[in-house]
This record gives sequence, structure tokens and C-alpha cells, in this order.
Amino acid sequence: MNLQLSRIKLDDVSFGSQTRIEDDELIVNKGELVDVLEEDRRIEKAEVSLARPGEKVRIIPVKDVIEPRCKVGEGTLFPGSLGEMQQVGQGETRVLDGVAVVTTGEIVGIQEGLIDMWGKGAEYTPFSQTINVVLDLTPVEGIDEYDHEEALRIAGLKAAAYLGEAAEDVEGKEVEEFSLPAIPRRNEKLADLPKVGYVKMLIAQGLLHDSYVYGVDAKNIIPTIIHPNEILDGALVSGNCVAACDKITTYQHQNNSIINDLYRRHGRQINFQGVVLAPELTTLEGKNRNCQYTASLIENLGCDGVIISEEGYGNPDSDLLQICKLLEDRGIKTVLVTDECAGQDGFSQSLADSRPEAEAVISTGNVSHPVKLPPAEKILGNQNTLPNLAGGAEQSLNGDGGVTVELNAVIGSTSEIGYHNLSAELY
Amino acid sequence: MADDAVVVLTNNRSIGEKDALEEMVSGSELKIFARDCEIRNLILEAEEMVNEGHELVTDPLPPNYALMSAPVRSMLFSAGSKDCRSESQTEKKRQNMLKKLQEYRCRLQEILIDGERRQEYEKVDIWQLQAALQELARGGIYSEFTAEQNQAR
Repeated sequence: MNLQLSRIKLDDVSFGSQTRIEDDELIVNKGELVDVLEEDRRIEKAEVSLARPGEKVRIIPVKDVIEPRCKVGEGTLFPGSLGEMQQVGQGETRVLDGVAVVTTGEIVGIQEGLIDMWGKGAEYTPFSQTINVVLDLTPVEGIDEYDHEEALRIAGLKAAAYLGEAAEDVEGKEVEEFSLPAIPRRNEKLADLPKVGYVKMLIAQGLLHDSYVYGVDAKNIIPTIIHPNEILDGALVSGNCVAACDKITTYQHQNNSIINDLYRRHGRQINFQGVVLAPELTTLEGKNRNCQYTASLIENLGCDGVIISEEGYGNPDSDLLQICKLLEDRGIKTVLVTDECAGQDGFSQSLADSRPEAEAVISTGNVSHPVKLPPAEKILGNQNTLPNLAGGAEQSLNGDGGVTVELNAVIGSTSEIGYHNLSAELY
Repeated sequence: MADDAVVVLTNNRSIGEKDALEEMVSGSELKIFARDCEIRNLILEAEEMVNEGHELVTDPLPPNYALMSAPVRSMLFSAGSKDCRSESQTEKKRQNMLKKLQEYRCRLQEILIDGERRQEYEKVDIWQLQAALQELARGGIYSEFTAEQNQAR
């Protein structure tokens, strides 16, 4: 499978009469985009705004972030979710590099987050560095939460596809190629290198805690092997509003850091064997089944080592540790990637479960770390939702318009696939 | 001592009125043990149920840190363990279930329960319970339920 991600670097976004790319700038016909979004009868009103890096803008409450793209030729963007099923991960996909679609809308406050485009808050989220096309979507009155969530999710994808169409006639200056031949051919050529796999855990626990694989609710699948290119090319869509800091947005799926790193090392240090998607279910029997099935798939791939990334905290910790133990018992080395819920002072137990086999663990940050953010000049969305955010509280709104929250409230701040800004320092 | 009955132990006040649960499970018996108590007491009762022979079906822990502060939680139990298990397997499983509940209780000691957004937490709790019931229905474990509200066990 061979995928070319053709990156069109964009320096600015503005509104104009026709959606197009001109001189490294994306020009958006706002009215047309609004019409596309309001085609969905569940959406009463769509408002579109822009937020650029450095502007004193706070976006709140954020539901998802999506990278606008365009499949060249017959391909479909987000197949199964947005269009008919068609395998992705091959051919050319054009990326509007530097631009993101951000959806906002309050469904249940405790599950949403914020993005600051400037100052201290900007340091904590990667989405302060993208030029954001922000969709503020008001649903029709009386809509139930299932429809509301789906309407917002699909609206974000539609906007990303609409903007992506502007790249139909524009070639990217930078082309990244992702190519992994079939496993037997890979192994023949790279016989001396350690075989490394990747277990990507996906939250699958009900409304606002779901993920979609080619449009299929991940609760309905057993663990499965998927080509890494498919993930990079839109096979995974987030329906997840797990705590804002470690929910894996659709944008982060499209730019999965672990897959990118494994690709960079493939053929030099490792022989990348592929990805297993492991849904995190609610029942103990379901968890047990999926963990065993995941371990079996990794073993059958012939991996010597595996990276396991989690999504969430609490009961997903037991999946993470169980997969780790099952693999270590089979002699397969594991590295776990997770964030920590260690309390504001950082001294509490980080995970809800532990195992002696988990010797190599990468922490992506402490979700409880408190941050004080200055007042914004402009709010996109509704700042009054702040006390309802995970990581927020009634006293989060400071008298001067600034806010004090835990990292929990900042979108993508402790991403468990490593697509974030935090790093560790030895001292 | 297989028993098809499924028990929801909950302190979610809106569960009792929730027809959606009943629609989702049809075929065996669904009992709702509704409790008006703090979450810590709910977990203690869950531990008692496990000691009495009920089998914990869902993981008691929520799926994220935000929900650790929730004042409400619903847990799904079956009335007994599967026939095919040996006594040692059953005991091992029971110990595992108790360990999960005790860990949850232990973690709660460090958490400030958020009583101000109870309604929001109740909604999320119901969605998670619905997901668990759907999971069971898909697996064909409990094919037909009739709802029965059981306030006093």
C-alpha cells in the first residue's frame, strides 16, 4: 500500500467570494460553507469564524478538530462516515497544511474543552499553531443528544472535505510517501531488524465515548489489523469527548505521531509490522476478549516488540495493562504510552491499575496540572460553559476574565499518541 | 447456578424513569436496584453483592478522569456465574472483581466529588450503561429482558 500525502503549506485563511487557494492562502466562501453545513436539518444555524495563531482568541467548548484534505481522483474523504465505503491509505491525498476545522457546541459540558490561540494556553495545545476555521453550530430545538453529537461530528467532516476541495487543482510542494509492502515481502528484505507492531487502543463506551472505523462504531468490532496508511488517510474518526486533554481528535488520528515515528525508523532500526486497533469496551468479558484477541494478533504478526497507546483513563487502564501482561508473557516487549492523573501536586497514583510487567512507560503529562490563562479579547463559542468543562469549576472564571483550569480542559494537551506539545526534562 | 437475570445497581436518580434501558434488553429479567446514596456506599454495596455470588459484568471504573468526580455510577451484575466455570476459576474471578471495586473506592478517597453537575453526570452514566447493555445483547448473552424495578432487594 502506497500513500502520498501532498502538503500544501498555507500561510493564511480569509473569506472571499470563491473558495480557492491563491498564493499560499486559503480563501473561503463563507456563505457556501454555511449552506453546506445547514443542509443537515438537525442544524438550525451554522456560524463560521477564523482564529489565527497569536490572536487573543479562546475557542470553547471544542468538540473535535479535523484536518482539511482532498483525495485526488476517485477517492473519498472519511469513507463510511462521510461517503461510501472505499478503502483509503493509497494514492494521493492533498493536505491543507497549517489549517484545521474546529467544531464547537455544548452537548454535555463535562466532556468538552478549550483552545487558546495565544499566551500560556497556546503552549499547551498543538491547535494554537493551526489557522482554525471554527464552526459554531446550533442544533434545532428538541434534538436528542445522539443526533446532536452525530450532527456536529459529520459537520466537522463535511467542512474539512469542502475546504479540501480547494486543493483539487493545486499540487503540494512537499510530498511525504508512506509505503509498506505486504508483510512476507517486508520480512524477507528486513530479516535482521526487530519486528515492531503498534496497538492503538480506541475508546468505545457509549455516546461521547465512541470511535469510528470506516464509519463503523468501534464497539461493534473485535480487534483488527489495519494498515497504518489507512489511519493516516481518514479511516478513523473521533466520536470521543473523553477528557479534552487526552481525547484523540480526528486531526490527531490523521497525523498519528506514533505511526509517523515508526515509519521514520522502518527499514533502518526496525521492521514495522503494522497496527492492531483495540476497542476499549465497558464489560469485563468484552475487555478480556479484546485484550486476548489483540495479544493473539500481535503474536501472529510475529512482533518482537510493540508500542501500545491508550485512550482515556480509569477502566481503559486495565485494558492497557492486561494487553501489556499478555504480550510480555509471550516474550514480546512492550512500551506503553499514556498520560497521568496524578493530582495537582503530581503525587497521587498515576493510573488506576498497575502491573510489574509494565516496565517501559511513556508519560504524556499530568492531566491535573493547574494552569492560569489570561483573559481573551475574543471568545468563539461560549465561555460560560467553562465551569462545566472537565478540569474547570465554578471558581475557574477569574474576575478579570482569565481562567484557571487543569490541563484536563485544554484540547490535546496530554495526547496519548504523543501529538502534543509537552515534553520531559531531566534535571 | 446460572441465572439470566441482570441487575443494575445504581444511584443515578434518572435510571428508574428510563424506558430506554428496557427497550434495549428484551428476553431475560432486568432488575434495577436503585439507591439514594453516596457513590462510596454504592461501591460498598457492590462489594457485598459480589460476596453474595453476583457477578460484576461491567468495569466499575469510568473511562476518564473527569468522570471519577461523578457522584453517580451504575454497575451491571448478573445474578450468578456461568455453569462451566470451576470453583477455582469462580473464586479467582470473584477476587478480581473485588479488587476492581476496592481500587475504585481507594481512588475515590483522593477525589473531590462534584455534586454541582449531577444531571450532566447522570446523562453520561446512562449512555455508558446503554452501551454495556447493547454489548451484552450483541453477544447474545441476554436475549430477552423484561424490566422490573426493584427498589428493595
